[in-house]
Amino acid sequence: MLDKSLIGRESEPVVHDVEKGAIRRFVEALGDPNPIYVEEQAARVAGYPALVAPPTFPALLTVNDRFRHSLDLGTRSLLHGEQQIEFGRPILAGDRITVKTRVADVQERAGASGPMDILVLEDEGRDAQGALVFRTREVLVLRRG
Amino acid sequence: MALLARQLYFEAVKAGDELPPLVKPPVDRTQIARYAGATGDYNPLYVDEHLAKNAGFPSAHAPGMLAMGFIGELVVDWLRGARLRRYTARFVKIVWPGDVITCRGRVVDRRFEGGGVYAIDIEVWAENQRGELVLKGLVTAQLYYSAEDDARQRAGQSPLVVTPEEEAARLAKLSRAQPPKRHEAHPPPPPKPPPAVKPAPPAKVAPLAKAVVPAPPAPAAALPAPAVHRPAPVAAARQLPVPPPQPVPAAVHAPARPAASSHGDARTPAPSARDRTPSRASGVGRSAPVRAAPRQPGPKAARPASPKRTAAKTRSAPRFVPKTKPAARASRPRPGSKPTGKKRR
Repeated sequence: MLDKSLIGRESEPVVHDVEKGAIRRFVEALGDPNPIYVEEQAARVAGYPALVAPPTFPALLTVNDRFRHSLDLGTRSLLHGEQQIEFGRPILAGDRITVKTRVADVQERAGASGPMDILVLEDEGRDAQGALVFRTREVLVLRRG
Repeated sequence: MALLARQLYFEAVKAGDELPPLVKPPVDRTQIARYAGATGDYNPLYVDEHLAKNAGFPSAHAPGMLAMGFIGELVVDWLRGARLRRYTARFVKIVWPGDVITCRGRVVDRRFEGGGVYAIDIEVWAENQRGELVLKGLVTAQLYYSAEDDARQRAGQSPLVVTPEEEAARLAKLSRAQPPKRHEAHPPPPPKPPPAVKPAPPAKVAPLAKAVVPAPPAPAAALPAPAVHRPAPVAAARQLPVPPPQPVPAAVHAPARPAASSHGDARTPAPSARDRTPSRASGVGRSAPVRAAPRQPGPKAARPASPKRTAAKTRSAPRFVPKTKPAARASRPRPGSKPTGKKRR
C-alpha cells in the first residue's frame, strides 16, 4: 500500500530547454511526418513563430526520475492508465519551460490480480514569463508484486 | 516552394463528422526503444523483456503515450492549425510489439462559447489489428469561425462574433437559395453518399459493435475469418468499389470499433479515406499511399498463418478479381500499393 502521506508532495522545479533536435527525435519516434515539427518554413506557414512540438510532447517534459525515486515506489511494475493534457499554448522550439510535478492522489483499487495502487501525478509547465504552457495529469497503476 | 496552409474553420465542422482513419505501421521494438529514448521514459516494462516477463507480462510493451501520439498525428492533421485546448486519453489495452494501430475520431460536440470563441470536441480512439479498443480519449480544440475570423484575429482585431441563431439564419437563407440540394441538410456533407450506407445488408452486425451509425463492414463477410492476414485486405480492396451496397463509404464512416470480425476490412478503407483528403498529401509532400496502404500485420499476427492457409486464401482471392478488377483499378487513385503487396506475398 502506498503511503497516503505522499499526496501533495511536490518536486523541485525542473527547467527544460525545448530543442529542435528533441522535437525531431520525438516525432521520428512517433513516425509523424508533419513538416511543422521539423521545417521552419512549414511551421511559419502554419502560423507558428518557430518549430512547434506535437501535442504529446509534454510526455518528454514531465519525465522526472528523481522525483519518482523519491516517492520510493519500489520495484513494482508501473502501468500508465490515463493521461490528460491541457494546453496553455503551443510548445515551441526555443522555449524554456519550468516543470513542477506533484502527487495529486494515492488510491487503492481492486484489480483482477489483487489490489492495485493508483498514483496520480500532476505536472505544470510554465514558460520564462510565467505563463502556463501545459498542465498534465497522469494516472499510474502499480501492481502488487 | 509554396506550402499551402489550409485551415479548418468552425463553420465547416458538424457534430458527427468523422476524421479519416489513420493506420500506423506496425509498432515494433525499435520504435518502442526510440520512443523511450526520445522521451527519456525508460520504464523497464517497455525496454526490458526479461523484467517484463518476470512481472507477469507476455513481453515488453509499448508506452500508452505512443498510441496517444499516433492519435495526436491524426487530430493535428485534421485540425490543420486549430488550437488544441485539451487532450485526454485512457489506455484501455496494452499495445504489444507487432500491433497495427488504427486511429479514429469523430466530432461529438460543437460549441459557440460566446465572445467569438468556438470549440469542438472530438472523440478519439485507437484499435489494434484484432479490433480491440486500446485507447479512448477526447480532444477539445478551439477554431476560428471562418477565414474572415482568422484574418481579423491574425491582424490583431477582435474576433468575429457569430451566434448560433445567426448561423442558422444564414444556413436557412442558403438552403432557400438552392432548394433542391440543401433540403436534406442533416446528413453530413454532400460529397459523401450516406443514403446508400444504411440499407447495406450486413447492418445487423453493426449493433454488436456499438455503432451509432450502422457501419456494415460488408466485405468482411465474404472473406475468410481471420481477416488479419494480408490477402484479405487486398481482396477486400479490390472488391470495394464495385458492389451496390457500397462498402467503401460504409466502412470509412464506421464510427465505433467494429466487432472483432470486421476489423480487417475496417482497416482497408484507410487508403481511400486518406486519398480523399489531399491537403496533406499534395500540400506538403506526404506520401499518402505509403502510410495508408493496408499494413501487413505484425510478425506476431502473421505467424499463425501456415503456408497452407495462406495458399488457400491466395486461391480464393482471384475469385473476386475478375469481376471487380477494372472498376477497382479505375476508381483507385493510387493503385501503387496494391501491386507491392502482391509482389511481397
